[in-house]
Amino acid sequence: MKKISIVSLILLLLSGCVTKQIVDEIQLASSVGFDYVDDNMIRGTANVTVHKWKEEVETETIFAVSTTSKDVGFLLNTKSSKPLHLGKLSSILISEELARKMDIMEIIDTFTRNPAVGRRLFLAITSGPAYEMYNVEKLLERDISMDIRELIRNNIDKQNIPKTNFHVFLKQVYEIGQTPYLPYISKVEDLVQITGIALLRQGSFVHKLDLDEAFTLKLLAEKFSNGFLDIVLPSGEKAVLRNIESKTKYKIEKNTNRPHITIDVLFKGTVNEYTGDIIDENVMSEINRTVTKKIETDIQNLLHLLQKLELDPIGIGRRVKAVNYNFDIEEWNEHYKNMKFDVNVKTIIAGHGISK
Amino acid sequence: MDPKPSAQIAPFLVFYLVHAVQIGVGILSFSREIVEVSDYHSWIAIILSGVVFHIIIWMMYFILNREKSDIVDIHNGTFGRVFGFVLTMLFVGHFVVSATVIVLVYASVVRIWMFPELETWVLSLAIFAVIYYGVSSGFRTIVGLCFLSLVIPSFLLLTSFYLFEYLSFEAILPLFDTTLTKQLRAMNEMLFSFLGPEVLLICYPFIQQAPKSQKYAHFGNILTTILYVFVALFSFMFFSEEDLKKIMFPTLTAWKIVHLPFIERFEYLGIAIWMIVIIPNMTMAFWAASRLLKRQFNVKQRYMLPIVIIIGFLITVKFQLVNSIEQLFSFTKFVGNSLVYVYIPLLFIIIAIKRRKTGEKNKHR
Repeated sequence: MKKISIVSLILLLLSGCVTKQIVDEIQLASSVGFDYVDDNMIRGTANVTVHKWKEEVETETIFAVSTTSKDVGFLLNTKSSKPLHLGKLSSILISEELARKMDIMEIIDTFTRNPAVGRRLFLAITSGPAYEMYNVEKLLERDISMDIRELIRNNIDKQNIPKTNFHVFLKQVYEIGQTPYLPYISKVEDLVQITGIALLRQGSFVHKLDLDEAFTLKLLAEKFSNGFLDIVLPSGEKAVLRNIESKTKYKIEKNTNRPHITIDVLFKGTVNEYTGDIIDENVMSEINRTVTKKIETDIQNLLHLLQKLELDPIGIGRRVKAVNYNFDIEEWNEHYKNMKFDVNVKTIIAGHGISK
Repeated sequence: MDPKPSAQIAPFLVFYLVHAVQIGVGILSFSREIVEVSDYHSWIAIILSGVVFHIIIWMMYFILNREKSDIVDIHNGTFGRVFGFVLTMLFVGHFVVSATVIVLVYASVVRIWMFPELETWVLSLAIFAVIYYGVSSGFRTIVGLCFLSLVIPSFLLLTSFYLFEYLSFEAILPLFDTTLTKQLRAMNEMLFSFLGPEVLLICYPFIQQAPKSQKYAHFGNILTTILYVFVALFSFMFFSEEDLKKIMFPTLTAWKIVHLPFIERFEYLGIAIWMIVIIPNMTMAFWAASRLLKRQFNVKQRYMLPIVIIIGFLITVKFQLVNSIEQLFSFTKFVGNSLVYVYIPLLFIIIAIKRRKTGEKNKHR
């Protein structure tokens, strides 16, 4: 009994040794954005949640200009009424201009170091200045940070954006035989929208893919369902297909740094929209042919583009490495630039909705 | 001289004992450590290290079953009083310092992740208070802690489901694309993570029908090996190689992807629960150290325990910075590895030769 009381006394006395951080006495940044000012300066903007009485919540935006993002965090604190905390951060936005001119790894270094920051948050490239994204009147969610987060999440789950978040980005940056990609968002008519995929080399912006190319990229990079495909039939009628399931298999010649690669794509979709009259056998097979042709050319075009840019967001190099006991990245990169891919697409049209 | 039957444990409890003293703070960071010196195929080295440790367990039981006593008697009987005393003191030092290093590493994890302004000695004082309480309750209580440290944190394994969607299986392919030197270097890092069951050399008299417990010791070691391989493979597939090398505690960072509605940073919960995993580790080591002193000097363990605890606490006060902890850690690693992987086989050979000689003598008579 004496022992217990001594031990618990020590534990009790020691429990007051650190400063408390109570949730309404700190300011939770829910999104931060970074912009280019000049070669030595960046502008950091933080979108913070302000808890008012009862359930009322408002967001405020504060900004600071400094040389590194760590200093930006420090300077933001000087403008904030309460200490800024990154525990609830849900997105980091970086303007295209900054990503072109600087290495964004320098900016996100502080976020990889900070134990309070999660790995599920979204990183995105913005077309205009990042701080402009927070000045949006039309909101679909409670506040703009949540809007951006749900927008990106929805587009990954149900639309054309391949899987990405902070963790996936870091993994891709450091992967051998892979280059990273990030969602690309713009402000269009006072509404934040995803307009494509930004391709990067290490931490620098290289190229932007539009949403159709993003669909092809997603088709090649991962097994997925959902996502939409527009086609124009030879008869001039238009159709929109919804992807139910797609699988991509890479057949890679083993144990060579100059392999021959065959890409087998299985695309299963349903017709969501058709401008013609009714869909009969003939139309079905025509849709099937057109889809196959379109996916094939899309894939070839995308691969040509990626080869020209010397980028590999699909991770083909990573897949080659997995079947090669003597992988040499230099030789592979040399081969990748000029190689030819065999693409076989198999399309299954599973149905055409509830009308004929 | 033998402990009372009421102070002894059933043979199957050795399973929990061996497993619990092996798992410590190493599991939070070893996947980075082995990749730094080796490559993504170093999970093979983990299995090899496990096999090596099976041999060590077998040797320990061989020695103990032969001598039917603990290490103090064996030392004094084999090497004489003076040299035996020095060797026993080496073991005391090994137990005290290795347990203190666990306290230091755990305290620095808490400082890095949760409370940057927390002084290490504050947390270590709290931990040492708990250790003192645990050890003074006796050996059976410590084995009970070992059992709980396996059962309670086992739900943490469920968190691996959150990682599945981010695993890339081709990361560890092509299989066996590695060299022997790389594997040996990884083994060199890995062997230390299996240390702990050398307490069997001290607690052997506390096990009922002790020779029967050998198979449970091997089972415990098998479970540890499986767990280590599991953690290593998950870290390898979850992070890319260059990314993993930059991460201090990959197991904790992997928890950042866990998403629960009621807690934003799961690793805070994980760190708190990790305390339950390391408590039996530390209590067992301090129990062993004080028990060795008791047997050596023939004084009550109750008087020896505060001495070792205070020594441990003074070490934590002295070593507060990350760099100095690392130096102490590599020193501990060296001492521990040489005691277990060099000295125990030597002792095994000496005992085996002695046995043969006495056996021959008996024949002649």
